[in-house]
Amino acid sequence: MQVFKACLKIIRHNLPSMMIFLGVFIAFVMMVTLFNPQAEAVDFTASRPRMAIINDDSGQPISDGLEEYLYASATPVEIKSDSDSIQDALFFRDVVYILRIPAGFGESFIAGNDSLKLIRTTLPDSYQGVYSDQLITRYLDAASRYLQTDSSRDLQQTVANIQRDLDLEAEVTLSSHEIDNGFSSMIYYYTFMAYSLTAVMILGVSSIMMAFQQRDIRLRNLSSPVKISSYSMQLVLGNFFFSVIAAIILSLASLVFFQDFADFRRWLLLVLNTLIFAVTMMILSFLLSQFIRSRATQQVAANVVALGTCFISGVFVPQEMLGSSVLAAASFTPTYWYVRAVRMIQHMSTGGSNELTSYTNSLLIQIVFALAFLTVALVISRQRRQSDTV
Amino acid sequence: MFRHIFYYRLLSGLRDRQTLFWAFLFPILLATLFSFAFTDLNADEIFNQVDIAVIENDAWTQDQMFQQVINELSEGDDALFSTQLLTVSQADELLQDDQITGYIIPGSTLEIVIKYSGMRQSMLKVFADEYMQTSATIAKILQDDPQTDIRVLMPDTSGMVEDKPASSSAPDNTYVYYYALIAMACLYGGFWGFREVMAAKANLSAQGARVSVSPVNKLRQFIYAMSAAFLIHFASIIVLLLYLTQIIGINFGSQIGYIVLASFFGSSLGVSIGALICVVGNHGEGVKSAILIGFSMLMSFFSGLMIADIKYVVIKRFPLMRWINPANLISDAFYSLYYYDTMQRYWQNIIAMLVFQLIVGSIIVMVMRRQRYASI
Repeated sequence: MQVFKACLKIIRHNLPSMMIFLGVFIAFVMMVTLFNPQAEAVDFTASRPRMAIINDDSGQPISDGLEEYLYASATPVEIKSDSDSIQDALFFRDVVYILRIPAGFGESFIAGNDSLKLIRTTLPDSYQGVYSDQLITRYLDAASRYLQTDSSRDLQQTVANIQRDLDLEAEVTLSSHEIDNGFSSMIYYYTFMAYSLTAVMILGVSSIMMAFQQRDIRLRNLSSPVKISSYSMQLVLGNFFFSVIAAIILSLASLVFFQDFADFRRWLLLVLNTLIFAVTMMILSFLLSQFIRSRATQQVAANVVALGTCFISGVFVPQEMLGSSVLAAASFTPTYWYVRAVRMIQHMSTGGSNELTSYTNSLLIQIVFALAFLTVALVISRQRRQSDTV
Repeated sequence: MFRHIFYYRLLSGLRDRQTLFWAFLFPILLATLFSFAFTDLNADEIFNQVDIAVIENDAWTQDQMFQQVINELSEGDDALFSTQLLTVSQADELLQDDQITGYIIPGSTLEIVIKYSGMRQSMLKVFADEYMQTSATIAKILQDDPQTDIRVLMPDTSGMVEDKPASSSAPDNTYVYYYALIAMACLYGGFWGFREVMAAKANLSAQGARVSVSPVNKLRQFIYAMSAAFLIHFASIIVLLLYLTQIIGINFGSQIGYIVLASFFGSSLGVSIGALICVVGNHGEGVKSAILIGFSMLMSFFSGLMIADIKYVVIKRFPLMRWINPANLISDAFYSLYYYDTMQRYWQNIIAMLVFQLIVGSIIVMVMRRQRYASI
């Protein structure tokens, strides 16, 4: 087991840089979880759009009613009305929807005139913006219905009717074992861990392997009476040791968020998935490191593989939002199956067995990936031994 | 002397084929992956056709209006829903198998049963709310006056809102990713600066030891070498910009001169930061390169490389991060060119980059000058 021992020695020697990588990526996953910027995209009705209303028509019941209704369903925000402040406020998402009710709008609307319009400034393609549009349309539709049929023209009564109707809401029942808005911090943490783990594995494993890739050392090792398969397997074992430790450290760090989750069984399933993913990525890194000879290439490989796979597999952008062709391509990466397993755990209902089967399948597919990577890596290292250029 | 050192450092950089190849190729590879992942991101088809079920109970058979609305929304190519009529147990089964997003139980109050919350589930909820509110309004009107003409009850007010964009360019969120990618490519220019310091410091390489005993002013020699590193890296950024604008089709606004200026400062800042990380401290190459990688990744993350919204969240919570994160300065310069109508924000970023560059440069000079080694 000399090679394995040498591997451990190199890990110990490289400990400072390993700790830096691990630290950076723990910081990364912690911050993403704490800031949780994706919650809005997933459940936009639960979030109250940040809205500013400039009412130039105050005193008019229909206009005032609109303002009151919108502010009841949104988070009111005060902004300055010069164009720079508006651009800044929109840019920093201080406000997502600015509505100006022009003077005379109420009267014009009652008259059935559509020449005087509400003026909106919003972020296109944002869910909160679209949701705000819907709220406005609902109010105007209801108002229009009452106004066109009510001959008494008692505006106060009309606005009261609108408010009463718009207070109605459908009842929602969640059939699964999920707590309020779904994306609990723990699930979030483990989804983003795919990125951290991939980067840490490639950077870490290639750092270890770079020592063995030096020409003279390779020549020396190849001439020793150790079988090449045994030599390779000992290297894999050394890296395996590293990957398990890294996965455990990252998993333990997730306990910070445990109080929101408080389901030990599901946490263990998350950890198991993480361990398998870490080992799969370790073997992929082992394969890649046959080609990594310099620090510059190392960072390139880590970046392209980690960012690339995570982008298409639904780590950064939720899987629902990716196109089917992207997801089809992503299913050829272990990352896709890791994310899928995490989602299965998220949606696991108390009694349902479907998710558990799906989860197990995702794990098995990751293991198949690991075995395939290992085979390719062993074949390559054997071939390179026999080739002239070492 | 400038020509000699510049030329040979340039040659040395150009002959480092592996580094050169990746430096040019990797931002392009990532940009391609981004564009691949984003192709369908804003396409409508993804949001179309939410699979739902409606429970066939007494309320359903009696409520003609609800039947009509559901049928209308489930017909045609651009239908919102794909609807099945089922019993509760059948619907539950499909829901557990993820074959439907949720189901509606008709009644005086609509009840929605979903398995978990998500975007499609939210759409179902929005529909149900809207239906209940509208039918309440219509019921009230018909109750007050049963003779009401049903046609006036279907108004179309969607044209009542007019857009007044905050800027002449739409704030396209996916652009943030590409701008952050340029910022990252600039920061990874640090490896070129790193390389020059490795070749110049006597305690880091044999070459550095040789160069240090030569009778040439060290500062000048270092600046010449850094210019060669900068030139190579700047060229790679220009290639990236060409790729982004010509092949992927990213819009930077029309001011080509300002874009090149921002890339120039961004690239030089990146190269200098790499040199700074290599200069400070006595750790080995491995640790320093780990610091450089970690720093670049974390800063790019804060400027929105992985999740665009992080940029806003971070700046809102820690306003100082806007000024001390070099990746943010670079990506913000591009973003302000594209998004803002005034140039003020662009110049703020450029000046901040200059100040940053001066500080980094001074620290490098202070550390590197007059270094002596008793033994190496």
